Amino acid sequence: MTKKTTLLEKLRVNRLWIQTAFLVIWLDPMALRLHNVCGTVFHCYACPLAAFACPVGILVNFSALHLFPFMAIGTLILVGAIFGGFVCSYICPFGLLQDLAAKIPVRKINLPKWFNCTRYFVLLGLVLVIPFLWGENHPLAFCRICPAGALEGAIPSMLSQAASGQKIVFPNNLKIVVFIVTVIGFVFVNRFWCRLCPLGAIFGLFNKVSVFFLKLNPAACTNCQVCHTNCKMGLKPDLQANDNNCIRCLDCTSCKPNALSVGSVFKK
Amino acid sequence: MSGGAPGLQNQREARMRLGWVRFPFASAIFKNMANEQKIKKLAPVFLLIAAGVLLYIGMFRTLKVQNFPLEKMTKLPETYQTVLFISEFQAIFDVTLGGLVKTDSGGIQRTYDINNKPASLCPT
Repeated sequence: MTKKTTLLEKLRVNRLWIQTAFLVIWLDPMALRLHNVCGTVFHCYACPLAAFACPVGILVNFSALHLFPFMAIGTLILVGAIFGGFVCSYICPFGLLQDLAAKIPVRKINLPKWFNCTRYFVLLGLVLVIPFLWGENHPLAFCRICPAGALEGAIPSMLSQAASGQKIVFPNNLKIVVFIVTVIGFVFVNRFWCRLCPLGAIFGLFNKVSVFFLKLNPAACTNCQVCHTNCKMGLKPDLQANDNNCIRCLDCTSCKPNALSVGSVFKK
Repeated sequence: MSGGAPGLQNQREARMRLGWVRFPFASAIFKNMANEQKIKKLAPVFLLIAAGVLLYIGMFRTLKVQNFPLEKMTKLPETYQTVLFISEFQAIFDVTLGGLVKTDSGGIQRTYDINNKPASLCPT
């Protein structure tokens, strides 16, 4: 029991370092350019430093081509069924960016809980339906307005065009607006993009049925509500331990009685 | 204390907890509730199997694509293949370059040039 708690504590305390270590993998330091392999995080393949293909980009493009993305869906189910929302808080580079921006000392705004449902509309509408009906070039297709695409693809591309003296090609206005709103949201709202992220919506669906899950020990819970105040997504982990909106940052496990811990379906 | 077998007593307690309402299929629901833990354990296993099946299909799947070059040409070289069968890995690679588009006829066209190089268009 002590060993398990220690591991949990280590994970939680070193989360930023774990995210940074994964960032190094996503930024392709070996220049492998494995763009034929579906990644598991929100990281645009238009980025000059992208190791894998973005799963959301694959879903958008395959939807536009009217093809079923077996590899992408298989990869997402595989990772989601094992880890669920852990991907969002420990692996995703966009999550790291949000966590760093959240360290700017300004008063954070709490968004209403219904706002978290927006990501399902983004997933269904912008990622699947619009590309399927009107193609990938539709201005509302997800890749056309994706803030990760703007940050990792469009901005480096514009900088390289400016540096080489070529004509600068600007992304569409909506993409710029979404990017600016997202960056402002990073600072004023905890995990702002996670509330809109279509990939987070997919992984969140697995929270209740994943191999690893959050486990509440009701006998140990003293209703201190530390988990409520620590939760960046505005959830109540003692009442809804494996909510779809949970990103499993494990901040809720820091209460003194250790009422919340990580369980696995293979352990009794 | 109410009598009966321990199992029955547990069932009664469960009924009280949930504000049980009598209706014909209640016993079936209680059986399902008893199996809930099993389902919770089996669900990830089913999902992992489903993921394995999807990955297996994806790995060995081939897609038929038209391979007309970007350049307007009156005559293509004899060795040039106008129809290709590509793997899903290759299709994923191509979409990361904006290299596959849907044609008006409903097919898929690869937007490579005559030297079989991708169009190098930014996909976003």
